This record gives sequence, C-alpha cells and structure tokens, in this order.
Amino acid sequence: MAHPVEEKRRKIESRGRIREFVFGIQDGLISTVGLLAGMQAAGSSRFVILMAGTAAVCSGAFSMSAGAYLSSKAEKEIFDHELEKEARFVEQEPYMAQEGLLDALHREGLAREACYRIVKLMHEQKSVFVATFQEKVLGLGSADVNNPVKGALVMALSFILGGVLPLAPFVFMPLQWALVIAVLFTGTALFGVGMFKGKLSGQSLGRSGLEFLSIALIATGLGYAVGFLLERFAGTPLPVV
Amino acid sequence: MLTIADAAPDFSLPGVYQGKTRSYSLREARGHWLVLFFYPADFTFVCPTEVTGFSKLAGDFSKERAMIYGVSVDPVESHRSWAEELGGIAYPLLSDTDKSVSRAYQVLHPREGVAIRATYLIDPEGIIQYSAASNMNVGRSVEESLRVLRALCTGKLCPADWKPGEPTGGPEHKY
Repeated sequence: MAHPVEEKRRKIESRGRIREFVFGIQDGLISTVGLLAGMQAAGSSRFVILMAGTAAVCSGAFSMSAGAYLSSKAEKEIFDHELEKEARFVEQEPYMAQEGLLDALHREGLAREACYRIVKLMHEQKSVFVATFQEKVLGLGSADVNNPVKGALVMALSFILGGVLPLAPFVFMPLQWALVIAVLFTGTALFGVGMFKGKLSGQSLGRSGLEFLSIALIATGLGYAVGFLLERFAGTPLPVV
Repeated sequence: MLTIADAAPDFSLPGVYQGKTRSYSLREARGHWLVLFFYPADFTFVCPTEVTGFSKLAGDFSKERAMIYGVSVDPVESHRSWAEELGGIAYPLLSDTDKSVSRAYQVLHPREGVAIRATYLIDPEGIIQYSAASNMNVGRSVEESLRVLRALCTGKLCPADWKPGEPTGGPEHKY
C-alpha cells in the first residue's frame, strides 16, 4: 500500500488537471451553446445546426488540446531548462547556494542555527540539496504536475463532453425547444462543474456553482445578441450552404 | 563609518569565550590595541572563514599586545554554539542584540539589520587608527588587519605594502 503522504501527493497532482478540465468543459459548453444560440437566432435548419455544431465541437477539441499540449510543453521546457541552470549554479557556487537556502529557511521562521545544520546536512546529498534549493529559494515545484500529453487529453475530452451536452437536444427535440433544453443542460452542467470545483477547493458550493453559471449566461446572451443583430442587419436569415 | 582619529564609542556587551559568558567593554581593552571586527551573522557559510581566520592568527595579534573582539547581532547562546561548531575560537564573540553598538560604530546594514563586514583597529588610548569594510559577499583579509596593526605598532612611517622586517621610513627616508 502506498504511503499516505505519497497518496496525498498523487491526489494533489491529479487535481492539478482541474485547470484543463474546467477550461475544456467550460469552453465546450459556452462556445457550443453560444454557436447554437446564434445559429438558431439566425434561422438555420436542424441539419445545418447539427453539422456546424459537430464540426465546432471537433475542431474546438482538437484546437484546445493542441493549445493545451503546446502551452504545457513550452512551460515545461522552460521550467526544465531553469532547473538545469540552477543545478549547475548549485555545483559552481556552493557557498552562495547554501547561503540562499539558509536565508530562505530562516525567513520561513526556522532558527538560524537549525537552518545551518539542515543545509549542511542536505549539502552532503547533492540531489536532495538541489531539489530543496529549487523549491525553497526559486519557488520552482515538482514538474510532475505539468504533463503536456495528459493535459491535452483531459482538455480534449472535457471540451467534447462540454460540447455534446448542448448539442444533444438538437438531435431529438423540436427546434423551438432544443435551444431552451440546451441552455438548461449547459446551465446545470456549469453549475455542477462550479460545485465540483468548490468542493475540491473547499469553497462554498452554491457560490462556486453560481459563479460558473453567471459567466455562462453572459456568454450565451452575447452569442444570441450577435445572431439577432446579424439577422436584423442582413434583413433575412443567413443563407444556408 | 567612523574613521581615523575618532574616539571609539564606549560599549559593554555580553560575550562568550571558551564557553563562558561575561561582559566585555572597550574600557577593559584600554592599554591594549583592540581589533574590533563586526560580521553579519553566526551560522552562515561565509562568516566562518573570517571568524576562524582571526582565531588562527590570534597568537600573532597577541604578540602585538592586541585583543580581538568579534561582534554580531546574534545572542550569546548562538555565539556559544557557533564557536563550538567551529571547534573553538581564540577570542570572545560579543552579542550586540539591540544593535546599539553596531549603530554607534556606523556599521549596521540599513536593510538587513545586521552588522556589515567592518574592522576597526583601536589604539591603547581608545582612538580609531584604522577602519575598513567590505561587501557582504566578500570576506575581509585577516592578514591585512595584522599587517596594518604591526605597521601601526612600529610608530613609524610605513610605505605601501610594507611588511614586518622591511625598512620603515624615518624623517631621513625619502619615498
């Protein structure tokens, strides 16, 4: 059985994926429902709405996951490069590195004498010293959380999940009801994701859910308004290709 | 910083020498040369080279009838552990915990709140005859302090980079 601290670390790392999950599902829900609202307001047919919706969900998922992959990878590469540089610094300037770690520990409230002994002891094992120096002096944590492939996968799945929910009613329901149900689904899902985030971060579930929902309402409203204005501006429904 | 011909401000501070704590003062050093050196803190990775440097040459300073006091703003308990950690120090380490002496000697770092690396050579009458300070990251030269002390003890004019045994410049000596 894994050590409780090790289990806790893994749990924190897995929760580190919440960024991609929230980003993906939120964007999937809002961009899709916004698109659907706009298309319906512009008078598009069910077929066009479904085709455009599906294409938007797929391309959104690809684009978002590629973005997540590239941004995480860029961050990780820069981060790793910094770590390498600092490992060299520790080797070339041991006194300065020791002094830096000692000051950092001292600032956190440990007595100077205790800091000195700890740093001296740690310095005997280079890898331990380097890792602690990076974390305490430079504020660079473990890079394990930053896994670009996992991040991209979570982003894509979350986006698809978020996109499918508002799209589903357009498959089965009469068009005049589909958007209402899609908005309801979206609102419920966003409220749920907000509550889930609230649970993980130890915040009020209702407040967290409401925060997500209110942002969604604003985005959807804007999408609808743009579609409405376009129709008014064009005078007729937009041409169906 | 205070400079040449300034009267060294009087002080009385608790200090540790060979594990024992007692009060040390400037008055006590009257009649002797005094090497009063300030350093930032105990338990650092640069200061020990200076603290042990003065300790290693303590015998040479003593031959010139000079006493050595090391001063930092650390408490006496810290000085005691630090001296033990360094394997014993051949002169007292004084505790200027309220920083009043560091302030009086104008060696208190304005932001760090610790003494800078400053050295004063105070003559037997309590007058400053040499003062020097170096950057926090650069340890001072203990040998230079000893060289200057020896030069001062000759009571003669000493040319640049003079070393003991080399000729001093009397009134008849032209540089």
